Amino acid sequence: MRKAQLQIMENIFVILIITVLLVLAFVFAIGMQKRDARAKQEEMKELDLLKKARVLDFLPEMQCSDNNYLNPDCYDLIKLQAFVSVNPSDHLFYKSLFGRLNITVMVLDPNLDATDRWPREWHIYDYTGGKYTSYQTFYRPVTLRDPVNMTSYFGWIILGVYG
Amino acid sequence: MRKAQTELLGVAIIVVILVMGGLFMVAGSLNKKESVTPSIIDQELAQSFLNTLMSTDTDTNVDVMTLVKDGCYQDRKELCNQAPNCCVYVRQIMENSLESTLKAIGRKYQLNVSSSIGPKIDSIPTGKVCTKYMRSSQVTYSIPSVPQILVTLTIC
Repeated sequence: MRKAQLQIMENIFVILIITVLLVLAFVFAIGMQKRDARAKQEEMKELDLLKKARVLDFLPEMQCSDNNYLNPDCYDLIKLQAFVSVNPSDHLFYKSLFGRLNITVMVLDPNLDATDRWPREWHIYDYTGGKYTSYQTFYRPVTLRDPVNMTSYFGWIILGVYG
Repeated sequence: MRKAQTELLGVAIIVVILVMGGLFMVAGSLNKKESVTPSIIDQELAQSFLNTLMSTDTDTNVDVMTLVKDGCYQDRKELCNQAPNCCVYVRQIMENSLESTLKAIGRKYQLNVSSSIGPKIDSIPTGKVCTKYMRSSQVTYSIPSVPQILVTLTIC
């Protein structure tokens, strides 16, 4: 009888150890999947930012135009300044278009004798939509054209998304 | 003897199951396909950077592309503010742009200007930054000129 009991206990321990190992492997697999899902989520956020940046490029409020030719990689400085004065953060249309974003445009002066590399910047839009727990930034170069002086500057768009 | 053999067989089966499970997990993690999204974003960044840089006007009201094509390769010093070496002048402008933007956001890069008559502008930065083990996106901007000049930006 005692021998049989020992045998049963032995079997129970074996099954218990196998179960513990299987549970550990399961937890490890779930952890890896979670990590992959988080990485995928970050990628989707970046792609979303890229799409939003592209929306900016085709906004007639800022796009360069020359004899009805619209250049998507160029922003008109005069239009940009006028757009900032309208304060798009207060308009429902732009809130629905951009969402919870912070859009800043800066001018870079790469010339050798420049005293300030970033002489000008414009805060175009900033809408947090209440509380936010994360903030991700995306950068993009763009040409800023002054149509009055016929000069092109190096522009740097900083897109921040509130999560 | 028979009982001991049965016990050993049981242990051996458990070990085999555990090893197979481990191998499946390793194979699954090695087989993961790398996402293309980071390379699309870097490609976009590199392309936008080159397009913007080449069309940026400098102090002499001449854009960077003309500085490279005429100032450096055709040796027209009047386009480079009478700088002694136009190629060094335009290289400095490009380096200033890269340092203020890509370097400032922590990205590694390599910019090369090449031509069939040989390089006249040193790569930025000098020395190899992007190795073959790093994930990188490379974009080339072709300056229409004779000889043709290629500006290549690699973000890694």
